[in-house]
Amino acid sequence: MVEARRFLALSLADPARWGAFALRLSPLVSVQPPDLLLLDITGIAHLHGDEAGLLAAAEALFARHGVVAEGLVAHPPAAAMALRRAGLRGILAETAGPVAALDIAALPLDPPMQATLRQLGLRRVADLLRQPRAPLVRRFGAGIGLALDVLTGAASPALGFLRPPPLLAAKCDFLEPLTTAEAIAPALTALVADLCARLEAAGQGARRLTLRGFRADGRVQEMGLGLAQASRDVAHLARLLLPRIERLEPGPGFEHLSLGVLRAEPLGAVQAGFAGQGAAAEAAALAQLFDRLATRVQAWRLQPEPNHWPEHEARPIPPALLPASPITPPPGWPRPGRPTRLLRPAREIQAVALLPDAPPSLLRIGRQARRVRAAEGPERIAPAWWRDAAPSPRDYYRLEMEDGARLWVCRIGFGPAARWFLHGHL
Amino acid sequence: MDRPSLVAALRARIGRLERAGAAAALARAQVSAIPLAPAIDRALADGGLARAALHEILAAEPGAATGFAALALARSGGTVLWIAPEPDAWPSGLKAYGLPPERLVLVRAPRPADALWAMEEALRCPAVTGALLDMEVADLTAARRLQLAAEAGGAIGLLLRPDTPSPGPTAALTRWRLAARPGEEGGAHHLGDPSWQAELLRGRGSRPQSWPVTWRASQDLLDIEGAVAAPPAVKRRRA
Repeated sequence: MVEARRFLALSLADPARWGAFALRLSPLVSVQPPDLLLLDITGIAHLHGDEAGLLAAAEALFARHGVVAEGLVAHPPAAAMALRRAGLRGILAETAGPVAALDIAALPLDPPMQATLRQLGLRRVADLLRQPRAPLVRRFGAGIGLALDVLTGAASPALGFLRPPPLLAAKCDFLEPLTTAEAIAPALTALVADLCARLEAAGQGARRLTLRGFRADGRVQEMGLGLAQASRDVAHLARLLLPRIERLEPGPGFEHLSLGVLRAEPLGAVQAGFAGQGAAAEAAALAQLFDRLATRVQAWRLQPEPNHWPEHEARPIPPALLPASPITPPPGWPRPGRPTRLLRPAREIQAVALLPDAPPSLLRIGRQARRVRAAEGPERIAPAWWRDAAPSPRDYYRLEMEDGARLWVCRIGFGPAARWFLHGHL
Repeated sequence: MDRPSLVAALRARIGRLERAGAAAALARAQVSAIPLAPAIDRALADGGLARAALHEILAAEPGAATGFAALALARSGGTVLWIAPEPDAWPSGLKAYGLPPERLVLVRAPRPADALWAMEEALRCPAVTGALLDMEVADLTAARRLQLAAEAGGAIGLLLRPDTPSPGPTAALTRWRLAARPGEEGGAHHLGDPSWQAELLRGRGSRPQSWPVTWRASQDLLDIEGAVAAPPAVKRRRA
């Protein structure tokens, strides 16, 4: 048996400001300006006893913050909104009757169209529903047909919800609002443990989490966390989340915390013993390390590219290696004679060369003059000529100085206009 | 028990106590020390660069120090992290020292506190076999923390620092100075294999020594001048 969907239409002043706060009641909240919040409460009513209990709880929640909210529970959602705007309150099991009695002002129609309909004697929604649909649509456009269908539930309206609903969520209310990190930490750890137990029961691992803190003044603080590899390890998730508590602003304190899983992946059972060995355990340990490093620093691997331009020989990629896409160097990579350190940006230096295209015999780096002992080159590297605004070609030399230091130096241009750069150390 | 054997037993016990934290990690690794060259390994107490420990490298010349560090990291056998405020390690050059790009992870940590934290996290991870921090670590307490982290995780930790005439005390197991050396082979138009001067300044159970070394990429070995003659395939060209 498919459970009928139920919606709660709450009318209050400034719904945009209280939209996120209403997430405390239901994960699906839609802001309907200028005066309505629409909550999808299918399957939630039992948490407050029944629908009457939910309605009372919702109105009381807003009343505690000094907001007068009046609600109507009904289905379909457009009917709930229209009837609430018409002044009905409470719980309606069936909306066909009240909707039929509504004035046509409840439909989203242009004033000229409304005036025309009244002139024709169609003053109530019931009158419109009695009319054959095709001539009505031909006369007034498809909009009126859609509006009527949405009101009766024959078509579903386009509702934009504030946040995507989580797949799993763990929540907790607090009698006394939490203001300090030391108070939030154990509550958060308990939520993580609860969530991981449910993930294990479902055979899933979390990839994306969201933490929402509902403050005592009606504001909401949110924080997200992404994981490189699906995990339901309580210690790992707690270690990632607890430092992020610093970023939250409790203000007067958090009354309610909710930790939800937005994205999950199937995660098979992990054997508890012998967990230290094996390539899979190693990959998991590395993924956890990269998750932890991502909270404070940037980490990446370099994927070799079949590109001869020095700066583009390798491309940064996220550090967690997927077994499906390993790093394999293309054939002919690397070209011989590349440096072990590449300076970014290349450092401009002065050089003295006996001939225009000969390797330099003397380098002046900063204030130091150093003599060149041996040189290989030039290796001309030309950029992608088919691109507009391509840089000039460079002549690279591998130099060994008198003291043995090896430098990768390039020259751009010829003759007096030539510029020399130190690009790397060999 | 007579006196010499008593002293030896006490030495062994103190050694175990000093590296007590490393015992579990060393038991995991198959080889407990990273070999460099036979002559150098003989001079080191562990028969090579010890795993589960921190080693300091004073870079008198950046290229030489990078090559030496890359060699040690490559021979550690697993995933390797390079941590610096602005990491400039380039995989095309490091491949010549045996470090393939799929094993290298670069970490950018502009703040010193973040860099030290990242190094500690990397050293503690059991899947990481080597980590290098290219930053001046002046604080002895921080270096000691890294040494403990290396012992816990089993990785080899390398601290790359700019060269100073008076480096001061260190918490690392060994301290090296790597400088470049003009190569004897090659001519004015041909650079041969890179040559360095590898100086062991401090090491537990070792006396300070210096070796002139040359890296032979084709044979994957660190050749020492005056040691066993190079194989005949390598031609020495005098300019």
